[in-house]
Amino acid sequence: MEKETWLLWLLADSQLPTGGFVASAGLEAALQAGLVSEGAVEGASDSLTAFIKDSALNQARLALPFCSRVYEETAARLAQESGGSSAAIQSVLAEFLGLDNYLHAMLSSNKVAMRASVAQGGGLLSLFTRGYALAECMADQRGQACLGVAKQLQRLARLGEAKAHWATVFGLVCAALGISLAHMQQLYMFQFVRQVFSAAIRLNLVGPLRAQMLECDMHPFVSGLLKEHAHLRVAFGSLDDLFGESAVYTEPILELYQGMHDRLYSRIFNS
Amino acid sequence: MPIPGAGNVDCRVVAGQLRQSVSSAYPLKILAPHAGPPLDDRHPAVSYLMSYGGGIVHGDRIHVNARVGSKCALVLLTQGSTKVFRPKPDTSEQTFQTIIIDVEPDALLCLLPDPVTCFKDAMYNQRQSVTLHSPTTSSLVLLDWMTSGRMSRGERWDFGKYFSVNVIRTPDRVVVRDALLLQKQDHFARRLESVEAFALIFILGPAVAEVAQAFREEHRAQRIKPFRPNATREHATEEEGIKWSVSEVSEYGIMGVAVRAAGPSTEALKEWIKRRLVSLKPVIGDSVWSMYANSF
Repeated sequence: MEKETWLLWLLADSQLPTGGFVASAGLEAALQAGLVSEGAVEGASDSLTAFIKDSALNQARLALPFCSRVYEETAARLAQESGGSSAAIQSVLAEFLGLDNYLHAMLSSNKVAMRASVAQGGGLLSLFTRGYALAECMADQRGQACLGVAKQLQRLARLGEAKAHWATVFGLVCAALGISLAHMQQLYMFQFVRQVFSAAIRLNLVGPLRAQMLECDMHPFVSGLLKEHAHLRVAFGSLDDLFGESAVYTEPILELYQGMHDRLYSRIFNS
Repeated sequence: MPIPGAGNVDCRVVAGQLRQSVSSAYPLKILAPHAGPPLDDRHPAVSYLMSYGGGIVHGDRIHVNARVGSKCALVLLTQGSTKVFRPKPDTSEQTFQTIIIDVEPDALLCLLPDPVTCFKDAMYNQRQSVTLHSPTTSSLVLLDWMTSGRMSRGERWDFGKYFSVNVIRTPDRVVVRDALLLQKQDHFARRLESVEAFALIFILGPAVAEVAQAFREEHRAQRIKPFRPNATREHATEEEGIKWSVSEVSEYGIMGVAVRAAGPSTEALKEWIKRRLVSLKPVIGDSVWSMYANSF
């Protein structure tokens, strides 16, 4: 069995201890706003599936271009001869921070999403530094360099000098673990879809068995999203880049309702 | 040879007097009427950004540069909603509107256009970048909003592309980058079915702290109960049709709020916004406020 396969199954675990279970990706707010209906699942207009598809597109256009770019920048630096050196560590960190800060700027008008992203990013970073990085397979020079990056990042985050968002940390950790780019992108989209279905079950929008069926049927759509958008890499160096379409969101109404989350009179999710 | 569609607005205080200069080249026209007397610590200025023909034609590239000097409060308005026409048959030319503004320390910029209305099949790109030279003393109100289309023709969320980027930055770093892409091939209309217009408003900096605070307090007072489709609504007012939320912005010394609002009618959303921006009146002066309030 390939080591990468084993790692992918670990990372795909819905019980992954990163704190994701408190986040509904805007579903709770959308439900309370009437954008998604209870009991609509059986009907022709399945508002839950539509919501998840629209949100998945949003992720593919907003978060995945960051995730992929962090992955590539990290993997490239680690692959060099001096990949384990402290210079390499600084270089990986500097690239990460530039991208992480830009992602932060893109989430700056949605405090709820920003908060959720930082919380989950921090959770994944801890999982790496206190879990995977201590595994035997990470004891080599490359693995230890990755641990060095992650620890510095945690320190900077504690000082408020870094954010460590979910999408960027995801790219960093997958590069550190030697997951392939394509598998990382598939995993990113899979875990996002799974998270929203999990939330839907807990919100009583759908039963757990039916959710499995619907999730199963999401494959062609997500596959299509990846086929169309997986090549995207965020660019932010020039004014043209800032004005470009390398990273965008596609859900203005979701952003609006997600912003209401903290004002929901009763809620079970954090975001 | 002036570049078509290019324009410039510059306002600064020189020897205690407002000096405002504007220039523009067809199809863009910029007018700068008198803005009223200076207020205690601030000189109001106003400019109208307009297009000949009342809209942006396919292939047009509008580019406005502006600079707001210290102690100035510049308000940028439009005359009527920005209409974006469809491309000529057999062309795929997109239209672009770019606005790049420098806001000096102790200066205020209010970008308060009418909403954008994209006609059927229109392809529109709006790019705005505002540099706040002092994160703590430069101020900004940026209103970015759009309607569903030419309802009189039954065109509703029927455009080909709408891409709107708002970059708010200091000289050293990008602090906010809001980039929305709606494309026909992504079936965006489904997600906007319930609204006729939506808006994004940034309210940042000390000159407009009261406006931001009013939004914050109104947001905090909300207790949102779950939507019940069969419940009858008593005293349903137009305001109740407006859905909105407020997000705190506090980054690198820049403080304020980002407001998102959407409604089932453009008129209702216009009034909702106007009502909440009324505390700008003492900041920009009665004269300029009237121009804004009467612009639709």
